[in-house]
Amino acid sequence: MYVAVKGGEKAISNAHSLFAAKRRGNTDVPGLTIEQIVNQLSFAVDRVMGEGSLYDRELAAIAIRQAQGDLIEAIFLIRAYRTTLPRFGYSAPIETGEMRIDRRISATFKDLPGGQLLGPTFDYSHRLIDFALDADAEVPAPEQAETDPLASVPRVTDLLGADGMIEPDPAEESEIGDLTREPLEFPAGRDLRLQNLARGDEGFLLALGYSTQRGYARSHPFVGEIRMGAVEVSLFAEELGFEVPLGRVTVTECQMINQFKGSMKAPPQFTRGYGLVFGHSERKSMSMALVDRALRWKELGEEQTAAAQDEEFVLSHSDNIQASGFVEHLKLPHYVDFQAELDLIRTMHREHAERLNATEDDTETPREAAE
Amino acid sequence: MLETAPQPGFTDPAIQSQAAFRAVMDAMARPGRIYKAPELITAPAPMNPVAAMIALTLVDFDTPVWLDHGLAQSEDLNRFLAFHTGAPVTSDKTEAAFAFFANPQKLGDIANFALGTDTYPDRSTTLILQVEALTNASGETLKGPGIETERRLGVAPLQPDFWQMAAANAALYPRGIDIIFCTATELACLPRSTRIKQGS
Amino acid sequence: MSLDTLSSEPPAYNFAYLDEQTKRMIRRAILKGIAIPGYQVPFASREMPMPYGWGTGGMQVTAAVIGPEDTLKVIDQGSDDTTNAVAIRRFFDRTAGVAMTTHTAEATVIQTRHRIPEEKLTDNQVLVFQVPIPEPLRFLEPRETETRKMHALSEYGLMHVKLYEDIARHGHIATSYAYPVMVEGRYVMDPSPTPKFDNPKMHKMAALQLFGAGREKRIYALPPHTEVVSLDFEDHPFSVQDWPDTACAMCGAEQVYFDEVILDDKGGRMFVCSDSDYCEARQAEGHFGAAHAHHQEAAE
Repeated sequence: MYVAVKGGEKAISNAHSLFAAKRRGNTDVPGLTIEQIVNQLSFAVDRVMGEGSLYDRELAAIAIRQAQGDLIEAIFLIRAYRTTLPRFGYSAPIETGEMRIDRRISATFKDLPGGQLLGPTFDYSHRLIDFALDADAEVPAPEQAETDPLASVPRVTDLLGADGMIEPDPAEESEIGDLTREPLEFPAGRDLRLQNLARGDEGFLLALGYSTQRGYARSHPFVGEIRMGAVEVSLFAEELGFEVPLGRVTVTECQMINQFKGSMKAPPQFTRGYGLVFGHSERKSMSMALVDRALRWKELGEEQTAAAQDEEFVLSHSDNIQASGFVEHLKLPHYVDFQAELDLIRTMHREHAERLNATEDDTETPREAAE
Repeated sequence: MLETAPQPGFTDPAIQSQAAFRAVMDAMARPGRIYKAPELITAPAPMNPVAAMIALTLVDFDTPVWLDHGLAQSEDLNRFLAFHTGAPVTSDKTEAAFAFFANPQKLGDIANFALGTDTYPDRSTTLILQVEALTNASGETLKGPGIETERRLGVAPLQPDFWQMAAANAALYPRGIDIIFCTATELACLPRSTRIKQGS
Repeated sequence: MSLDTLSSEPPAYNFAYLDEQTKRMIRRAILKGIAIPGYQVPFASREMPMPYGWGTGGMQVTAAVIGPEDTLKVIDQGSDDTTNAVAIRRFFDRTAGVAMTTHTAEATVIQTRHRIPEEKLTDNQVLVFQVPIPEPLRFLEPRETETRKMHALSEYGLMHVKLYEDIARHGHIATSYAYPVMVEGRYVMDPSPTPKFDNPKMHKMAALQLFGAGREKRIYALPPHTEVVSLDFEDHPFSVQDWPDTACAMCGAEQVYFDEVILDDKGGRMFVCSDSDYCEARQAEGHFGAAHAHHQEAAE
């Protein structure tokens, strides 16, 4: 028996309270604290800050807890919050050359000014499940070399640049854009491309970056340098006439160096791909650098052959909040459109059958005549 | 009042700017129809209250504003706009998102403002003209989107060749400027989509 | 994300959620859209506290337009009570506190997904459409750089070729919803995924029609009495869906858009009005369809 769809309001309320109960789980188990998430799930926090494009560890942790560990959902919470915040201004560009370095590696030089600094990393670890970790075992204090926090650690690309072996960092002539305030327009400048990639989905960029390594717009990349650590953020205060330091943020920067044989437009030299993300995320910053380099095909006079080079394709599909919203909207009712299609398919189905019958009649007639 | 303190703006910005916008939207959607504007604020002379209401509703630091001679001369007005909108004032007509005229008899050539491009016709200037009188009883005959059959619109005073310029502007469609006329209490709009049948 | 947190917890949100700077930006885009009917105005769409694809464009437009004097109606698939309509109505109830109605005639602002009400709209109403893909040429040409050029040059040959291919293959145009329209002879426009049954209602409608596409960051508009023509060919004129000899099982209405309801697994089905308010109003006036008697008995 048909009952007109009613009671949506109540059903939604009930669904939300069920969900809240599911989030908390068994109440005999202590609830997660924000401190626990900030301290023990730092990579999750970093990803949420990066793709949420809001640097606030506590807020990211709250979002992760609320989203039950669904990081895209947590990123969404951060984005929706971020968009309501008033803008006071734009900070001055951060100087990664003056980073307080926690980790810095180069794959292109065995040793270099400032040295290699492994820092905290998964790399070289054996991926064996550590059953002991289950208990809240004591962790021995790590040994750390004395470093001079004031020592400057020049970037590898600057060292190469001094020899003219690498292209100069392409200068940005026009004002730096902001795709959260102005809708993206194509072709986009590198500033907007990099902003889009920095906010982009790690998985999407990883797959695209990987595809360039497998020959879809191959770019012969070397990790010139990855550095991770704290940099100072400052704001130029118009009314004061000088820069005001706002605090420090941790970022991961990846400078890819790509072999380049030269083209009609550019001489043989090394070229650059750049990645920069909030927090500690080498996978994301490296993927970003690979895709950035692939997207630069036009200015370097290369041919466009692959998806990773296709600006409209990459930039239009990198945002996981847009993507998951639109994919998941298919769950919404589509009765009306489906009815329209059902009607159309019925008509076409009938017409198809009629045509088929008509041709069968045609072929039967001569047979009958022959009999 | 301190000499430096600008005249007050909206007392309840969210609610008042909505009322103001609704009047402008309704008017833009029905070209030529005269709408009574909500009484919200007064502005330093020579800007009239309706023009001021439009400024505080639509203008901000993202929208360069061009002011005609009379408006540009008023320090109080400049301070008022700077304080309440933060909009940069420009002397480059092609850069202006909005242009305000206290004297509609001295418009110059309105085609010197931004007319938009074929790909982005929206990147154009909106003109706000302060006038003395609006009437639907006589004047030019308007046709086009937002008008069921025809609508008369009389505007005074205006630069003598205004309606020729307006017709030329409509001929650029979809490029062109959009115009908002406002008296001290009323407003009416002339978007680029409106076709003008002259003489009557 | 629970909408319940919006009203009960600090920080307090602005009237209709959006900050004033965002509203100004959207309002400027709406005015441009009205001045250039059918042209898609880019706007800096914000993340809303509901997912992209779930009506964020329509919500931003409604938030920029609505005021305390307004009465809001929200429909999805013609119904006031589907989940998405309920969620959006609750959002505006909490953030704007405006009057709500399900009655089409009482509403001053109607936000809709995929339908235009059956009842004729009037001069003092605004109809806000939620739009997923605003670009009518998108499925023929995925690149924005290309489609923008086509609109600039009024170069719509591709669309006509596509429609004509349908005719060549199927004997008629095989587009049943989001059926493209020509606005004032200048811009080809996507009417949002409304069934083509609703296309004629857009033509010279007395109400202002606003379209918001949040994820795709576009706003467009049709002022009242704008010419909106569904694309067709002289020898294959545009026609709408019709259900001959079908009446609503609840209210007996004919010549409306129907939802098909499957009753059992033996092919039993019936048709009811897609517009739930229209259907209820007719029943209140004493119009009943075939299933109504059964329904009454079952309810008792």
